[in-house]
Amino acid sequence: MAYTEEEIFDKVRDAFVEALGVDEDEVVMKAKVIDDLGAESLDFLDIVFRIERAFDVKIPRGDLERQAQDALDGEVYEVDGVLTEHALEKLKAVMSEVDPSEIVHGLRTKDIPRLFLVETFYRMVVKLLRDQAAAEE
Amino acid sequence: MLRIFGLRAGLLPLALGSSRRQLSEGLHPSNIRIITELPRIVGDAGAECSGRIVGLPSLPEVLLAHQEEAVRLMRTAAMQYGVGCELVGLGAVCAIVGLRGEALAAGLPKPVTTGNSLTCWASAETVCKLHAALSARPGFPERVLIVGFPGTMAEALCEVLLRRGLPVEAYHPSFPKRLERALLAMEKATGATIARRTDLPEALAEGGLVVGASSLGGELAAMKLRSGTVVVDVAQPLDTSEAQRRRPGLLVVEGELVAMPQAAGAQWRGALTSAYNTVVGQGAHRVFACLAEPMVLSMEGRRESFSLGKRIDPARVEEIGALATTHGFGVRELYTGRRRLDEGRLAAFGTTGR
Repeated sequence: MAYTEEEIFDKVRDAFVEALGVDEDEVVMKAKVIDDLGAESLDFLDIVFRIERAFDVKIPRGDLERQAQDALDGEVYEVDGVLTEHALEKLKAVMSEVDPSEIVHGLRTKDIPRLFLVETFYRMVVKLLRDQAAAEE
Repeated sequence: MLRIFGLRAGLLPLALGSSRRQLSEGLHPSNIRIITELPRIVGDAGAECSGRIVGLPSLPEVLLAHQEEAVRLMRTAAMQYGVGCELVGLGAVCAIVGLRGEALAAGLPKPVTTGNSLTCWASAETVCKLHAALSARPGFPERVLIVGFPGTMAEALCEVLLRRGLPVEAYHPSFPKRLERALLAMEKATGATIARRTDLPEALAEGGLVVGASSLGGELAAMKLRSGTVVVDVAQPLDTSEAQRRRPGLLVVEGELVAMPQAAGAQWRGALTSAYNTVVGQGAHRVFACLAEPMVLSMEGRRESFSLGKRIDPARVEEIGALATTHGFGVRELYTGRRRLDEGRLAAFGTTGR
């Protein structure tokens, strides 16, 4: 089924509202999922589950990190949990919706979810739906 | 007599003969394993229940990555292995995937419970016992510091402790709006004030009674804990490290165990098969509170999804605790390192911090 951008955002927003109990108007594209909407680790599971059901898609766990790692062409991704400079550059490219000033030296892999915006999930869904449509053609 | 059905997952099936490779490849109903039968458990008020505990064949990371399939597998397990059972209890990862039990409950003609309400009650009881034993120690901070916000258990435990009159401090690095709203609502409901702490090393440097209640564990593992600190570790996986749990001068108490009813006796001990002891067991006299919750509901004849989803209702926490007490479950003893905490050691700790 083809969705408009507005329909996609509405469904993504609904997933956040239902999973976190926040108000609709708090769920804007640039809202940070952890710092602005107050999500915790298990909430990410709930959000992903709701989005997967809403769009009948499968969101691979750790997809963004994997994309950044794949883009490194075998170069070192992290040392003792801290992202390398190369990894930071690739992550900036993969997460272009995030303010690049937040993807800085010293960023730890475990802190990547703290960068996630509502827009991160929206873009993930758009990409999955696009891939799905391409595969059906 | 109601029959209950307990579902657990995680590494449990490894101990039951599945290889790590099998488990990481996918979710196959053919690997579902019966961990033990609970033939007849008698509570102290004479009520009984029976049931079965079943393990799901998968690693936690596989279940978390394939939630829809995990819910389907849980449904299959409950339908095929839970024939005659009237209540389904979820443990470990099963209580997390699929909207923390809600997705399974929506597709199953039987009530489902995660056991989180009784877990919260057991934790609160543990904290209160320790607080009573330790608060007289000179210089011991009166407050209880809770780490793990905005986790479900941390929030629920905070409210329960406030309602019981304990002074609570909450740690979070930034207190986002949703958490702040939740804390304000608790303050309004109880008339108490919750001190907000944003600097964890600073808060831990004060020692005292600390509760680790994060959702994914490990929250305290890398932190410096002051000698004399008492930690109630409610998290699964645990918030403290193995080294911290062994360190002299620190006392780490398990926070989610309840004692079985005295009357449970030989029948209960008969259920403690080697598989049970390996994958679930806490010994003959105690059990994870999440497993005890469906037993209590069963003894009460309550066919209802008591604990489901993100929210744990403090009123229901106290309700299930009262019911559990009626049937002989309770926090009669405290445990550290899977062993009973000797009263002498607690008293000594209360006096000297050692």
